[in-house]
Amino acid sequence: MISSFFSLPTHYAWSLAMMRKKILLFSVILLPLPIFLASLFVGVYPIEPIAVLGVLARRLTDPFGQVPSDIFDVVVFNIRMPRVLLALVGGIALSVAGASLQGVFRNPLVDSYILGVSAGAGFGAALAIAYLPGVPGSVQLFSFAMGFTAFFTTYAVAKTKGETPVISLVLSGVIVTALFSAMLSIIKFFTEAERLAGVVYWMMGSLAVTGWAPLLQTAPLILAGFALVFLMRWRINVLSMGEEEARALGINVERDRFLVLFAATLMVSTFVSVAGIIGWIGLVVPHTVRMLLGNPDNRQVIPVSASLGAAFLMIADDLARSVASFELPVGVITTLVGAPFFLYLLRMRGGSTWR
Amino acid sequence: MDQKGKALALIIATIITISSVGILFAAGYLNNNSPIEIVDMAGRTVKVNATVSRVVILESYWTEIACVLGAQDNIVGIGSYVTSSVFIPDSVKNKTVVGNVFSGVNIETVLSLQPDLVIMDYGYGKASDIVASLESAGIPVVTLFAKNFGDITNATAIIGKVFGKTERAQALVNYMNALHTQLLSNASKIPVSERPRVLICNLDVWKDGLIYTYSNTSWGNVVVDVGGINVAHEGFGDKSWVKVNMEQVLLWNPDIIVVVGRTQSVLESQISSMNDSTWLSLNAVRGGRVYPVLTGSYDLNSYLDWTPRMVVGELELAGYIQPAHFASLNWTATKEQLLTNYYGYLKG
Amino acid sequence: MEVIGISGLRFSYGEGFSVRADSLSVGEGEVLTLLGPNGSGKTTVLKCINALLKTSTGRISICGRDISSYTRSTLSKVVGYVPQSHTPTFPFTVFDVVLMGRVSHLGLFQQPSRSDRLKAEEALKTVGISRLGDRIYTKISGGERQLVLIARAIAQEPKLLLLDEPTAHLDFKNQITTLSTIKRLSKEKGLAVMMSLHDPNHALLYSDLIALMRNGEILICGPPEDVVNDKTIEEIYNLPVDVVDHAGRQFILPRVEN
Repeated sequence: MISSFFSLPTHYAWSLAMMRKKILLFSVILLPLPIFLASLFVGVYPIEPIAVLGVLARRLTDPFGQVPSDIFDVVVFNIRMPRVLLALVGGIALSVAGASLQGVFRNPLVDSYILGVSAGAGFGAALAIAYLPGVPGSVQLFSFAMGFTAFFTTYAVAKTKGETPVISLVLSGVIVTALFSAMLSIIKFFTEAERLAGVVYWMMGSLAVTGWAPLLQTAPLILAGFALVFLMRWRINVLSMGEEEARALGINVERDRFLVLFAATLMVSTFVSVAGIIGWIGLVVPHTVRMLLGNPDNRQVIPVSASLGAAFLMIADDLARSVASFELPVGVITTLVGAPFFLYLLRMRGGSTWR
Repeated sequence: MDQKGKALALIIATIITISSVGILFAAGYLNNNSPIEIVDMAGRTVKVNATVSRVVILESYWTEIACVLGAQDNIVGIGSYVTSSVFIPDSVKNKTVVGNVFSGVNIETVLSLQPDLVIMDYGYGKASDIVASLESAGIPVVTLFAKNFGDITNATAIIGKVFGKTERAQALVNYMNALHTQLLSNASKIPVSERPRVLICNLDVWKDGLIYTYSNTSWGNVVVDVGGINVAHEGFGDKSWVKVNMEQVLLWNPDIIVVVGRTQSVLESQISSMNDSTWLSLNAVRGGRVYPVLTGSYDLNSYLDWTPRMVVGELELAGYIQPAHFASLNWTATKEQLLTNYYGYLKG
Repeated sequence: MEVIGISGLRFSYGEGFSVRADSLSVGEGEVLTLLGPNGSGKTTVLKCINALLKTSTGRISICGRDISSYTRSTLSKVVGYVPQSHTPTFPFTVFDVVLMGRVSHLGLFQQPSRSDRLKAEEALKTVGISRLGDRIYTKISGGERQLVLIARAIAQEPKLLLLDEPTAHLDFKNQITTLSTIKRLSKEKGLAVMMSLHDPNHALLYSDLIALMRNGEILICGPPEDVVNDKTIEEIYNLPVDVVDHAGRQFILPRVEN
């Protein structure tokens, strides 16, 4: 299965360069595993590495042991592990959504939030923070629901005579984003200062408060969205050639594009609902992957983006939770790293960043 | 069980708890560190070691109360806003910062401090998530929240109990209640005809030209407690605060304007912005009855805050709004008294 | 044998311009050229045949079945479409572009298999551009790109090939290479070909049938010698021309006054 998306056209001669490329691919694909393990050793609480290994060994034999017996188990198994895993699936969600939306919109500068999902989710979160303070789960539920509402609104506004041209989708995405941003501003305006700060911090994005529950609620939805995109990854190549051409080649463009947009929205709004808005991953990771591969073929770009995105967010969150005694918002870190890196790519490639 | 039954059970439980603590205390049993139960302000029953020695506090006002009660040596971690309070000694401000209710706390940092207890606000920000995380990691959490004067004394009593400073807390609570009760009784004797119309506002919150007024909020209600009429109650009585434009202020035409802000410079800029013809058309401004009042904990002259300083803050407002009726309650004298008796730690 | 037959086709873009084609038929191994000035409706006819535009009335029959009985993907298995070449956003390899021709043969969640890759390679070989396989599609010449798009259409394994101005933007040599390739494929594979062209001489050199179009209407359709003469060309282009014979072939020359 894994080898199938690396298999190269048969006309390629076997060569050292090809071999090197395959090794690079495999190492990027496997990157999240060592980073996941290493992340379990990172944190403010001082634990000897051997003790971390001890916890892992015990949990390997008895994964669901009740009542954590010691503080090391609490830190490693209940605090670090679910959080690192949340960063892992979040990285997959944002980068794969970015890569697939870039394909569908035929624009490498599109990010995971082009359909208005972030504005919708932000509005939903603000609504819950302002009017349902302290109701458990309300922020997550509202931001998820509003993220999806924004997507469906964008799609419905763009649809004319049974068709949704890309340009209409872009425009209605802009409009829906503006509408939800305006509604967010109204809520901010009518919100007391201390709750307003809650909205502002939510927008910055953070994986700070976690545990197994948020992971278990979000991971299945994100992985379902990922599976859908993964299965359609080659079709996204064809969609990226343009609507008429894809149709002439035999694709049901409306259906296939909707499926990809839906899957991307599912991933993004699920993750945003627990982590707030974490920027730049959806833009920077697919770009970097296309550069690494020297090829925009989504059969490889999608899975490699998933891996690199997961690795990137895990590392960013490791920084967020360990450089200071208090938490830094991980969204600020991804932006601080992502934006200059993007600039570097642009400079290095003289404007054509993805080649 | 219905609401009444619950409340009754709660009261009985509280009484039993308190009395049993009293009995234990009398019997000298408290030293063996068996857990005590505390009902916090969210109504949660929390089991806490009888003598806590390591506590993390997220908000500056609860930290200040702990310091007033003499428990500063038992604070091992603080929230990020605690460091900006001038009523907290440097020894406490230098403790590890663990985060805050808005951006979340770093659970690992809290764990590494090995606290017996975390004290924090509830009901906004990421409070409920933080409580859940801390409790799942086995750390008890006492949650507090102040909406009115009674909440401050309740919180003081709870913090006193947590730190084993019950007597000092009780003395402080009695002192605060005595002043507050006297203030209310003095004010209640003022006939309606002698009550001035008061606007309590901040012109600087949003920097958008609108006027942020306090209606049905703790500060807005202090105005009424000390014998004023809060103009914002006219039309906005059910709102906690409301942003209005200049036309609304002209319509209210208050006799007194109380301007609030956290720092002297914020107050000064507000006062200077009133030096124009529009503001000068108001009774309050023409009559020179505009009073800048410091709030929060950024300045040593701030008294309107969720701490024992509130008793002075109330008197300060009373002095501005009803100077004739509160001549006997000299607020500067009370201030000295409070600082001497309870804030001695600041000089040390 | 007839691959494509059209009768009484009507298409209109809302109010103004409408296109009509009363009768057309192309058989296996035949090349039909739609010839006419800009805006005469050539592209519209091609798009109707590929169901990219929906006709209001008339009948289009492909391989003996009405076009409405095809789904998008079954239609693309018999109709290969070569759009006017353009630069796509992403720099796919030539091989990957040709491989996309296989999409109508694959299910929604299917990835191209080894046999699909072999078919793509074969299409490259058939068109004679195997050497371009791992070049970057966006970085090859316009003429090469046109051939790649033809190879992609061949990878669809169609019975009917539609080409929209395959010589546009190409230099003199590439125009001839492309048209020769199209003609050769038509004969080798028994493909019915419909294409639109601007140059009457190209039409004369490479077509079995020519349909002259003007203002959305097919004026006349038939073998080149029956259709193309100075009168018909002058009529559709509104330009005086001479017909000259050279080496047994007819050529159209514009009458230029110096």
